[in-house]
Amino acid sequence: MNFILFLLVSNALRVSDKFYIVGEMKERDWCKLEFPKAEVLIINFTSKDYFLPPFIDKMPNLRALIVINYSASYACLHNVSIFNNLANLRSLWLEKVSVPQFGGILMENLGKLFIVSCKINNNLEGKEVNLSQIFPNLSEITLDHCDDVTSLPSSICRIQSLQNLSLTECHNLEQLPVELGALRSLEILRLYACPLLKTLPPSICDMTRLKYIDVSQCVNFSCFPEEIGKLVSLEKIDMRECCMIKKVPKSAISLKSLRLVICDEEVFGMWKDVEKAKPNVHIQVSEQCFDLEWLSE
Amino acid sequence: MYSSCFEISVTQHDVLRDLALNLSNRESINERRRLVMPKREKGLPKEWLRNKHKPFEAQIVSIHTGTCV
Repeated sequence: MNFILFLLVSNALRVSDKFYIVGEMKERDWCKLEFPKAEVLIINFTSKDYFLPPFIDKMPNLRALIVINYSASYACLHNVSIFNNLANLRSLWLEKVSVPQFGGILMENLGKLFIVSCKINNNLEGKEVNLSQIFPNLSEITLDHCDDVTSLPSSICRIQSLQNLSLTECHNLEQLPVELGALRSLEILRLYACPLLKTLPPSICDMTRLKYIDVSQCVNFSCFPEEIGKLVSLEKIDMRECCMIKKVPKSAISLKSLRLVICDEEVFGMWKDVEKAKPNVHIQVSEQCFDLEWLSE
Repeated sequence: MYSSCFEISVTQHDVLRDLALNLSNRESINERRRLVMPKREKGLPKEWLRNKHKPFEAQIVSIHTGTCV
């Protein structure tokens, strides 16, 4: 119940934010407040610059920090070094901000990182930014609607704890790092609606714990790596609305944990052959609905 | 078990928002478990600042800044 209330309250604050322009908080705008028991802090604002409240320092139990900017342009965050003091932080959500340079920051217990509609500015790359040192215990990364991402920083591949990688609606993402397969703990790989992505690096076939691949609506995605059959844990593939996929690798027949494939009509026949050999597999054709009939309802 | 954006749909009604705020605001400011700014303001609410001499007990804190034009 409390969690539901939290969701309601936090979602509620997103409603009707169209008509204001000033929301910048500077260092002098904050005063000393103490929140010794705070576990969740939600910060909503509308401005180009935002000084993170110094009283975050007085939140020793903070587990989740959500920072959402509602303005049309990306906000620059200040006082970011405060992240170093958040030893108990498990979850960080950043929305519509310029992602800060994390160099020199250690977020030891961070498990989930959500970066939504943000500008990355290559700040997650370079020699001084080793994501596996900054986030040594990360289990989940989501990059959603980050339009300036063309490739993924390769140091992501060294985060050995990573179980869930979600890159969704990143409209300029062209390729994934060659060594992506080094993520041996990865269970979920979601690449929904990345229209420039054409293939996956062959190394992903080494991800022995991978259970779920979603490449749906990657409209230029053309093929899975030939050795996909090596993915012994793979249970579900979602490849609907991938109109460039014309064939299924032969090795797919040896996917021993496979249970469900969702695909377009064009490749349904090929998956049916796999289904014949493996009765436990269910092949489902996606229903496409591109018409405008809903307008007349 | 694993689903994608195709299957996600959430709607919310203003009444539920009001209910959540009402249930949260029964105790005094310092004792609330959920301390929420019910509307956006230029800075922190005056009511919070008046009570800043005592620590706030809240587990969930939500702030919302921005000036209505």
